[in-house]
Amino acid sequence: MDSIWQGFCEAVRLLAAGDPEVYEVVLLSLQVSGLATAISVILGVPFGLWLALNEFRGKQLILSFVNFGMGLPPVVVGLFVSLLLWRYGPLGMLGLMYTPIAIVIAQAVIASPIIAGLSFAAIGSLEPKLRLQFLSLGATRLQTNWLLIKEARLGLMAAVMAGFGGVVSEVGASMMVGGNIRGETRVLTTATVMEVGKGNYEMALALSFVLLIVAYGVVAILTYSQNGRRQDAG
Amino acid sequence: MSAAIIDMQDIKSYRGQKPVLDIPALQITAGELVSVIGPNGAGKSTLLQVINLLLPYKTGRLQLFGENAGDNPLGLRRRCAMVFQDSLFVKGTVYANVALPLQMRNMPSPLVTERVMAVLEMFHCTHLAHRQALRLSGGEAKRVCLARALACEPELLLLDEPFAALDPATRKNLLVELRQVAETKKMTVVFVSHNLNDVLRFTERVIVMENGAVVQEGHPGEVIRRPASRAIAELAGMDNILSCELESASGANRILLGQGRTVIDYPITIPDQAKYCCLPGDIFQMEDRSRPADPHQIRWAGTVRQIIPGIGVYQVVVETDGLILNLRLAREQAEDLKIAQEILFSFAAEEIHLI
Repeated sequence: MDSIWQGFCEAVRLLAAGDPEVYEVVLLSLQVSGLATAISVILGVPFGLWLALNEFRGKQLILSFVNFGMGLPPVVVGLFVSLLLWRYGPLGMLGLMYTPIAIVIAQAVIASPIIAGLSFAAIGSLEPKLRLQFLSLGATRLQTNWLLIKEARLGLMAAVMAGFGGVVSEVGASMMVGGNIRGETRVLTTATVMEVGKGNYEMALALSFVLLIVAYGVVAILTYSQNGRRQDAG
Repeated sequence: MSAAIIDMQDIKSYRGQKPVLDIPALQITAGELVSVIGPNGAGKSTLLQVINLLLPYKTGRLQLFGENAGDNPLGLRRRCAMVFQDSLFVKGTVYANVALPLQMRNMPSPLVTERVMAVLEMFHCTHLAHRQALRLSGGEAKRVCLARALACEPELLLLDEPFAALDPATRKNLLVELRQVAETKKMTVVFVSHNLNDVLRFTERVIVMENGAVVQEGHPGEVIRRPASRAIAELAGMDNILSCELESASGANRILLGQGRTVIDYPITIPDQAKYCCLPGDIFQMEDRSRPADPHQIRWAGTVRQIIPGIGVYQVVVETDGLILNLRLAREQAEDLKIAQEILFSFAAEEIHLI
C-alpha cells in the first residue's frame, strides 16, 4: 500500500516539477492516441452510421466482424502491423517501422472497430422513423446523416471516449511497432513496462498514475462537454 | 377539373420478397382532402411513404405535381411534408424544430424567424417557441408537428395517423383547425387514420386499403354503409355483421340468417360468394302492433336486452330468433323501452348490404 501511495506522490511530483522527459512521453502519448482516435472517428462513425441505416444481405456477418474487432488483442494487431511495416513487408518501403506513425496505425486499427461498433449502437438506438422524418421535411442525404449524428451525439461521444481509452492504455501494439525508443516512440504505457522490466517499480507506478491522470483528464473534458451540451439542450 | 397532384399507375412495392403495395391506378387532384383507412398492415403508411418518395417502388409510374417522381426526388419531396404518428422532434427548442425544414432549404435567418413565428401563431403555439420540444404535452407536440410540417408551405401534406394518441376533444379541435388551414391554403391532404369520426370530420373522399391494395373508394358515407369487406365493416363500426347463407331459386333470392332460422327475401341481385349480411343500426324503425305491416318492409319481433344511452341516438340491443341485433333509435323512442320488453321493428330489404 505504501508503494502505491509513494508512486502516486512521485507522479504528482514529476508532473508538478515539469520533468521534461515525462512531459515528452505524455505529449507523445496524447498526440499518438489522439491522432489514432481521430482517424478511427473518421473511419468508424460513418461506417457505423452506414451499417445502422442500411439493410442488406450479409449485414449480420459484417456486424459480427465489427463486434469481434472491438475486442481485438493489441498484441495481435501489433504483430500484423509489424509484418506489414517491416523492412521486407508489403509497406516496408515507407520506412514507418519504429516511428510514431506506426503506433498511430496500430492504435487506429484497434480503435476503429470500437468506435464503429458503438456508433452503430448509438445510431441504432435512435427512433427509426427519425431519418424518414428528416427526409420528408426536405433534408438532403448529407443533412439527414448530420442531423442523425447530432441526435446520437451522446452515444457517439461515449464511442470516442471508449476508443481513446482503449488505445491510450494499450501497450502490446505500441511496443511491437514503436519499439519504445527514447525521445522518439516512447509512450506512457511502453515506458511503464520498461520501468517494470528494470525493477524500478516506484517509477513504473508513478508513470501509471500519470497515465491514469492523463486518461482521466481527457475523458473528463469530453464528459463535461457532453453534459454541458445536454444541460444547454435541457 | 383540377390537375392530378398524385398520379399512380401500376405501382408495386416490395419489402424483401413480400409485396406490400399494389396500386393499379390512383389519382388525387389539387386541393383534395383524402382519407386512407384500412386495418393494420393494409399498406396505408407504405402508400404515404411511396408518395413521399421515402420508399422505392419496383414497378409502375408515379407522377407528383405533373412530374415523374424519379426525375427530381429531392425537389418533389420538398413540395410535400409528412407528419408521422410519433412527434419525432430533435433535441432543442420548439423554435429550432420548426425552423429545421427552412434551414434545410438554406433560407435566410430573418425569413426563417418570420415564417416560424407565423406558422406557430397559425396553430396557437407562439408561447411554446422557447420550450424544449421533447417536453411538450401530446396535444402541444402535435400542434408543433403540424406547424413544422407547414413551415415550408407544402402543396401536399401527408398525415400518417398523427392524432392517434390524442384524446377525442383535442383530435376534434386539431382536425377542425387543420381543415381550415388546408382549405385556406388550397393544400392537398392525404390523411391516414383508423378513426372513422376523424375521417368523417376531415375529408369527403375515402380510400379503403387491404393487403396493400385499394379495395374501395368513395364518399365516407358510402364506405360506412356499403363496406367492401368484413374488416372494413368492422373498422367502419357497422352495427350488425351477421354470417349468412344465400339461396337463389327460380328468380327469387333469399338470405338465411341464424343457420336458416331467419329468412329474408332479397329483391336485389345477390353478389357471388357473399358471406356476411350487414345491417346498419339506423335502418330499423319501431313498429306498432296495431298497425298493419308494410309489404315493402321486413318486420321482426325481438326482446330488448340492453339500452345504451347516447347523444340523440340510443343503441338498443335486441335478441330475435337467436340473433343479437344492435338498433339505433331516437332518444324519445328508446327512453320508453324496458329491458326484456317484446318489441316489433322493421327495415327495408334494400338497406341490407352483403359482403
